[in-house]
Amino acid sequence: MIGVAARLRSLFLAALLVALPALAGCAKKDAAPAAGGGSTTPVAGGELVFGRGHDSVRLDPGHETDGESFKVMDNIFENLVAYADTTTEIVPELATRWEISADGLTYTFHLRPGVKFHDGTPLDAAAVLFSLDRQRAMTPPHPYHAVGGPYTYWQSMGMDDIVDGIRAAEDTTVVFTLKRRNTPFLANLAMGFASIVSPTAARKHGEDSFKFPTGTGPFRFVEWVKDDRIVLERNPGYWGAKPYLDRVVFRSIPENTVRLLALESGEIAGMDGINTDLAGRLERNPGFTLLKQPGMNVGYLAMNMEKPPFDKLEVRQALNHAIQREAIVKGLYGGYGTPAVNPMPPTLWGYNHSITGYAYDPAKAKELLAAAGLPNGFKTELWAMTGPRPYMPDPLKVAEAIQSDLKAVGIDATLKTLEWGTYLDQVQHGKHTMCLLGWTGDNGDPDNFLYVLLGKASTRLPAQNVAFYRSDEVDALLIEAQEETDVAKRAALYEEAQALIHRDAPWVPIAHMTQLVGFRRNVRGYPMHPTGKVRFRSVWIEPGA
Amino acid sequence: MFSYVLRRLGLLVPTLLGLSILTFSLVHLVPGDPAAVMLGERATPEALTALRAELGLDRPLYEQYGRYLSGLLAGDLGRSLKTREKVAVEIGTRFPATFELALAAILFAAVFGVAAGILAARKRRSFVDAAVMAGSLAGVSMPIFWLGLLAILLFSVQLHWLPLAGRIDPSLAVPRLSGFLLIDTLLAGRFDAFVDVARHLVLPAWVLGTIPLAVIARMTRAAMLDVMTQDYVRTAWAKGLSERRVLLVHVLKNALIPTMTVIGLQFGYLLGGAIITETIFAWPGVGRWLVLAVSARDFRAVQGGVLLLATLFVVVNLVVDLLYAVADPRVRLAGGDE
Repeated sequence: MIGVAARLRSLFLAALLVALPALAGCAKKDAAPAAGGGSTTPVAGGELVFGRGHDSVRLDPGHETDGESFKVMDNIFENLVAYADTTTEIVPELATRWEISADGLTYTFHLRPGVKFHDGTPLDAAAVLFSLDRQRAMTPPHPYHAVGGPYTYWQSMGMDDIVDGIRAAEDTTVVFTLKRRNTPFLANLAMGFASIVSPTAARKHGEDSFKFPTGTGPFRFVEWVKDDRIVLERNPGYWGAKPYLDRVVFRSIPENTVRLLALESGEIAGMDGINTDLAGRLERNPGFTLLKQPGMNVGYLAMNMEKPPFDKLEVRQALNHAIQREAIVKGLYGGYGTPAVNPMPPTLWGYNHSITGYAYDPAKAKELLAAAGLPNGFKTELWAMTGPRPYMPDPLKVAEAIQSDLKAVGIDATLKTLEWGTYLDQVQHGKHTMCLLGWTGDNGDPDNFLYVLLGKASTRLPAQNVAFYRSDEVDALLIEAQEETDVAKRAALYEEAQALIHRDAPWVPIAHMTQLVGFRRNVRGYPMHPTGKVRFRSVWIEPGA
Repeated sequence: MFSYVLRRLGLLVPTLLGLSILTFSLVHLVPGDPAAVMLGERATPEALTALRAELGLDRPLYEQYGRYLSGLLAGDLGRSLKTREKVAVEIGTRFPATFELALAAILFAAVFGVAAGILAARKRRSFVDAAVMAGSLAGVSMPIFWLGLLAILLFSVQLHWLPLAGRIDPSLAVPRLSGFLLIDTLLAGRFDAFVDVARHLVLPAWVLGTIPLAVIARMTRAAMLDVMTQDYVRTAWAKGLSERRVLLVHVLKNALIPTMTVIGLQFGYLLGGAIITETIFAWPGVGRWLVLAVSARDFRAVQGGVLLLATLFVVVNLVVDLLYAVADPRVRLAGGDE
């Protein structure tokens, strides 16, 4: 029985593999014609159905941590400040301007006049205070601090260590006082958790607020059918340039292949979560547009500097020379990755482009090992995640590739895998010698990569700095950059820090995974954002295409 | 009869209590701190501590179970850790989708399975018999995943006959009253939407019904062949009754008893949510929800979900047992005096 079943299965597999390209050819003919000579003047109207892998968890920006929730909320809610359309530069949104005091401790925001929430509540200083004060740890606590669950992002971004107080100076002015100088604070305010919610709606719905998201954004909430779809419609009273689309529907289609087929057959007009092995199929099809950009993430191999021989600089540099990161990215990221040189992605300001990275040079690696007193290599463990992460599609395969590269220079690494939750816990408690891990950035500030992942403070258990890299020199630069308000000066400090980190080699940076979004050819004006934000305000559908 | 039903329902209590202990311990024995899984890479010690306290994970296990049980007794399944929505609501919004699909699948499987079984039994050792047996073997062995993808490729992508995923076209706004879209669309007087919902049901119901169909066909065939050798059937033939009457009235009626058990069991399984079918067809049902809850270590959702689905399974089996009495007057359910 079993033998027959297995044979049938392989037969089907073969049949499907033969059928797929053939059908792709058919789909090509059915697809929307390429709009090569299409108009470039945006047209209002139409509905856009966007397919994704999972449903949102909840829709209250203060409480959520998952990307699928923010994808929807980024179209409903707005913040005091925002990221520019396609960069992480901070621009005005609900605040038209702000002043930073000379000591860097007072931020005064002036609110945009005449803005209303989707429920008609006017945007004023009280609404800003409600949205942010409810998240703070204060005595006595805000009446809504205990409503709806923990404010995870506020806590994990350390906002309680930064913000001393928030007050309304007038109806349209909000003043933040900080406990210490901290410039990334401004970028934190552009993050989803700092969105301004309608206090009227939050009070009315209490614990259930997450089902009735009410913001000031270009689209307003219509309907949510769990695990199926979330429907938004144009906010007719939007203060800014009116969105073009009448409706946006976020549909959950969990299976990647089916989602792609849904795009090809016209059931959806855009999608994310595109498998690297299926991306090529979309790229070759003239009826569709595949947008690509290095994502705001990094996947890396961390060497635990608390454990010999990784306390030796030569050993860490040797590993950097021994591993073929280009081959790994080419082979295991399906070509949709950028080999990493620095701990932060090149799409961020402050990236040091003059660093070229350690070249693949096994002979040099052996020399360095010999210099470290280990001419015959050594035995160690290589820890790897079992499942895909947003910065590494197949960690086990990456680990195997690294293992064989290391073997070539005499390092005998045994693979060790654990279930994800346990893995993270063990690694963050420094139980590993070498481990694969990665990070997806939050606020688009270099601080959010360099200080979080390689700062001394992050070696506190459970550690984010899993290389346990402790450099006073780097730390001084990173803290100076936190306190500096001039962006150009900050960028210079971060470039210097990257050079030092490169020299000290606590990691073997592996790759920045490319973020991919696909649309039917007639969908125009989608701004690909380094943070992966999905925003539809400027999107329009070309008629007749 | 009444006391039998009561007894069966009474057995439900220890069953469910055992089940609640089992799921509770399983969920807590599985490695991985739910708080760590929920926070992922950005877990800070403060956030972890706060979330653990918030979830009650800092309490001893027996205390957590005690709280859970007292909630259960008060009819409260608790709230999902991930969404903070009541587990009963989470299941309530998804169950109609699963039920609608399971019902469509089992109807399809029962009708075609029984028909194929009768056909095969009647033409025993013929080409038809061989075809039904081979087809049902293929049906049981077929990986649902591939069958689903093939069905989508052929009927949705290439032929454009049927929609590809979901329960209804998102542009059709129909008020949700019961959650059963076939009913809701009719209540709204929207025949176009009703047809759309039915069209969305075809592929997943077919794919989901394949395995039960195969099982039912084989069971019907075996039971028919078994009954056909009995004396009263020979008597029926001897009386000169038509083949139609012998097979459909005399044989089938008795052969249906084991078949009904199989149908009931299969329906019970389907109600638990068809994880693969729901995933492929983006069907918003309980199966997919439960699997996601497991991977998110959302133990309250898992406990509540398993408990509710187990109850359903037991109830479905009870109903099937009761149906025996209808199909076969020899079966007496009063019990105790066999």
